[in-house]
Amino acid sequence: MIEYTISWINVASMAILTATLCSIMYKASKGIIMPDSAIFLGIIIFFSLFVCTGNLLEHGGITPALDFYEDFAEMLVPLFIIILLNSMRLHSLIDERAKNMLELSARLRERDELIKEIHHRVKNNLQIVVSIINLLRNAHDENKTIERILMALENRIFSMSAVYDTVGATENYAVIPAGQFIKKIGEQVACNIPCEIRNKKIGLFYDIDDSINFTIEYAVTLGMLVNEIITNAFLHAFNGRDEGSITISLKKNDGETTLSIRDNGIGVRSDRFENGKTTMGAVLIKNLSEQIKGTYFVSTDNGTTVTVRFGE
Amino acid sequence: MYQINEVMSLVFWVVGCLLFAYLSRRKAVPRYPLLFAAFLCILSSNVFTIIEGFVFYDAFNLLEHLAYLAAAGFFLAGIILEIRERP
Repeated sequence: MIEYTISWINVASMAILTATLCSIMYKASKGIIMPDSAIFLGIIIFFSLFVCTGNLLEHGGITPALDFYEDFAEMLVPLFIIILLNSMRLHSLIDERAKNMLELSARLRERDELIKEIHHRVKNNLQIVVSIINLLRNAHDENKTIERILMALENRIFSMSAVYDTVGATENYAVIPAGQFIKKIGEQVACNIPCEIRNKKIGLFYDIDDSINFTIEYAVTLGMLVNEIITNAFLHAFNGRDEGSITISLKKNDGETTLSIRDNGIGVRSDRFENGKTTMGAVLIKNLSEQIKGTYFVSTDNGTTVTVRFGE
Repeated sequence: MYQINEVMSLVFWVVGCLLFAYLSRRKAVPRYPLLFAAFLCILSSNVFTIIEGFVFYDAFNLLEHLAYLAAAGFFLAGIILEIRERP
């Protein structure tokens, strides 16, 4: 009875092993199992089938002839398992390397693009510097000292550099957090103003929505715009006063961004800004607002508020 | 009594399974628990083969073949379920 049961168990094992062998061949033909792994797996299953056949013949009372070879076949199976494992390991290594290669080539392409972009931006920024110097030369004012002219130039160049400084500190080169570079520009202007103004108690306050980010092109233009408006406020808003405050606000509403710089100084004639011809600062504010496709207006109510609205 | 070829076979299987477990743990090979279960079943069938030479011949003989049947089942399940299309 027990021999009969064992024979049927062996028949079942053989059927399942044959199905396994077919499954391996099918997966190998579809490329799911690599050919060498499929061969080793096939050998393992084939030896197992051989063992089952030997057992069936023995326990079915037909012949014990395969019994001797059966153990030998069984001993070979672990050897093929080791070879199979090694081939699987090699394939996983090859897969991993192929994946790494793809990632590396993607990064390389990205870096090439970045280098091109950097060259383009360096050229643009140098052109901006040249334009600023040209504007300074054309709008030369006898009343301004060399020190003030250089200070204004320094602040303008710094406003561009602050943007790149912020880019270096962020992980994503494509977007720059507005709050960070605007604060840097504010601090730089406050440090770089002439002594007689620095000695006044002028507070600089920020009300900036931290979620607002800009692309580099936008950020450079906006940085220069902020620099011009703050510098103007520091230099002219508090004539004859010992204290005051400047508040920089940046908000986004329905896809429209609003930059608003307000001081509580002596106020300024709004037409001084709007005709855009009187001072170099006013010319720059007008041009820079146009560059970011924005509109700007000046209001004087208990000080001066310059508001620029733009799309990004 | 036990036969030397059965013991040798067992030794080979123990080494093979240990190597499989070691490599799997080190993530040197993809993890295939069902295939590993199949190898363990064959290992246990080898153990039963040796034990049957000493005690309960019929019981361990049956267990040996049942373990082989289980191994075949695990092999089939492992090939179908674990070895899938590579991403």
